[in-house]
Amino acid sequence: MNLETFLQWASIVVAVVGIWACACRLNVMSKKTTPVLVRGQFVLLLAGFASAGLGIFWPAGVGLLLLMLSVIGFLLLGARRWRHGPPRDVRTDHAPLDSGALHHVSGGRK
Amino acid sequence: MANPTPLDPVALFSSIAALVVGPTLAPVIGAYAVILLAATVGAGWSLSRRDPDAKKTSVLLFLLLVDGTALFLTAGLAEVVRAWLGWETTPWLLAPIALGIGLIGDEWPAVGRSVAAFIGNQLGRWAERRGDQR
Repeated sequence: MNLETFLQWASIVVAVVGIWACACRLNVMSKKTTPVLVRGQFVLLLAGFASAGLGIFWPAGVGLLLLMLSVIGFLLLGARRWRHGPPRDVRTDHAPLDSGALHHVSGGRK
Repeated sequence: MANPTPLDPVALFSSIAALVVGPTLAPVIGAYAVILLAATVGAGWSLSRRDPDAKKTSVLLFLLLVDGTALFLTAGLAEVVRAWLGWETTPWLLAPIALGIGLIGDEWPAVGRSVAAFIGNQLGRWAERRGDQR
């Protein structure tokens, strides 16, 4: 197996892992609990990983370009949360944290 | 006047694929790549829309089912729409149909019930009209 073939297979494996990770996050969201922008962020990432996984059919770089576009889309959709600095749930200097935030910090649902 | 260049996703991905797999395979590879992408995006929205309690299958199985359904149904459905509407070409229809299949996700029984209710409604109206004419 030459380097190029190895990299193509590695890209496919990484893309599948990315698709699975995004899908797992989408799976725990719902229309009632999660804003459409957040859901859209992960749908975009999912599409980016799917594009990268299909990269064997595109010329070198197209899959990567589509993945980068999806990441930019992800950042743009989250820009509103970051307009006034780091959001509350990613700060460590915010006190007191409510039970939901503590739950999040301690590693999520058990 | 020259024909306008098609701007739909299938034409775009076919053109890109032509650089790798050659012009013979590119239309097929490009079309199926668009179907897979659109169905995956639709499946993502479908996954994120419903309550976690209502989700019956595992994530990967869900994605495989939705993408598989789209791969098998999309081209046929596009052909049905093409024949129904009398259009000449329908490659641009592949993306929205695959997206729609993804959005439906595993709610096909509900779709079936809606279609059955619609057909029943139409038949009821037709029967009423026939009754009025007599």
